[in-house]
Amino acid sequence: MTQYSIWVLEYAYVTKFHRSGVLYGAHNQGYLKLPYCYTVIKGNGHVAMVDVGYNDKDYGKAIADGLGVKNWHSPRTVLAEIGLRPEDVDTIFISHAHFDHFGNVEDFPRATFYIQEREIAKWVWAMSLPERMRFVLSGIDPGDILRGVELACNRRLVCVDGDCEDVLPGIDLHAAPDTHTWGSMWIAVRNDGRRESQDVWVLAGDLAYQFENLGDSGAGGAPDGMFIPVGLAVGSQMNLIATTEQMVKQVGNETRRVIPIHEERLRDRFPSRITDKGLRITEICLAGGVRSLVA
Amino acid sequence: MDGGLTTVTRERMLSGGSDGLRLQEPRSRLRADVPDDRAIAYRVSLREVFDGLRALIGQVSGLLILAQARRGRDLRDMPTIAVARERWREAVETLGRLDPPADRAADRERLRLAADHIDAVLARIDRMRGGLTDPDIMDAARHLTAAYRLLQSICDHSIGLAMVDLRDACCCCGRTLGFEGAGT
Repeated sequence: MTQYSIWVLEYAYVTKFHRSGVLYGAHNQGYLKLPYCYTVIKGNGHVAMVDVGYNDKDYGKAIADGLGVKNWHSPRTVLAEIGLRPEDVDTIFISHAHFDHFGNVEDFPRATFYIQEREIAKWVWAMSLPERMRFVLSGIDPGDILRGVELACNRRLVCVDGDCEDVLPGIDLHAAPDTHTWGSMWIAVRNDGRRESQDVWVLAGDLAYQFENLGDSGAGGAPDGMFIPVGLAVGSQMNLIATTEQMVKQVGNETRRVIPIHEERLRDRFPSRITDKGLRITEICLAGGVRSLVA
Repeated sequence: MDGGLTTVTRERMLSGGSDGLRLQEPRSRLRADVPDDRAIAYRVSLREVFDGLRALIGQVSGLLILAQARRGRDLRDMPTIAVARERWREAVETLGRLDPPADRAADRERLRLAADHIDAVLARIDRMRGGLTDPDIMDAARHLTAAYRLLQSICDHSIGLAMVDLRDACCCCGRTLGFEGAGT
């Protein structure tokens, strides 16, 4: 029986994002819409999330005005669309520490957060580098790291060292060092609960932005094109390619089961709806006995 | 001559093109639009201090998380602590030379206070024996939060004073403000 329901929830978007930011080397190929999303995994008595978005209160207006992010809504508003409140969330996996993924921990008062220890340790190192090397600090808000200190003292921040199985039943964390960031990770949901699962979903964080990163030209089956790294990495393209291979193998070469959250075309592949706030809710799968929230 | 450019050439560049009509703009307006040398020097130094202190807040915060995660490990052994102390010294030295225009004098005081908060945390780490306790870490976090709020209060995105540095992210695409696309 399927254990978890999974939804990808859009909380903001950029209407005109340059394609080369998404696909390495895609220069002068125009722009696309880039949704900003987080993922909810519900089942087995848990409400978990992958990433928490950013906090509009502190610098949202600057981001909106300066960077073209539009239509931000709070987790309370967004989660309500699937009948949840931020207080219901007990577990949060932080795929990496960029502001739009780790920037809103304070809105989740009861959750325990999981992040790769390497992600913290290497950002600490990067922040000690000379100003002329600041490229590697792009997208990091020191305030997010600072809020992590309080979480750590309250035993609500777990620093994971490498892969970690069954963090929740059937949910595994996989380290992807030196890829998009120093300590990125991806999350595998073995939805039949079996060790050799036939029903795996991979939540890719920013290790893949779009189907093309996965060598998926649109069919969603085995890769029918070459893997293309994402356009931003502080690690290496090779590590991104190798991680993509791991993710695709984990789902038995069925690329539709690797979920890139910045992919607008998830709507073509999974049931979805647009809320009255103009944000999309995409239903990746439903646990046994759970009714659709997008139909 | 002005920095190697003739006045005409400089005005042509400032006006954004070679349109002869633009060269007829009143000189007073052009001068009003362009910061004077003192203002430019101030902005450069301000950015240097701001960026240094901002990085220190993140760096020391991360160290506190690691201290909590790796119970018992002495942070003083970590090489980044020495780097943090050196960066703090550099920031404070630059701060001492800061010569703000009258309307921005408060910036300097806020930066000085922020530097004091960070110094308090570094001093505590220097003094510690056998690792930081939770109260130590919470107290340090309070100092760092105060420093963060002080920096936040002088943010000015028009000159690159921002708590999240997106200037060089892929999302920025070489632009500073007013563009579409944000880092992911």
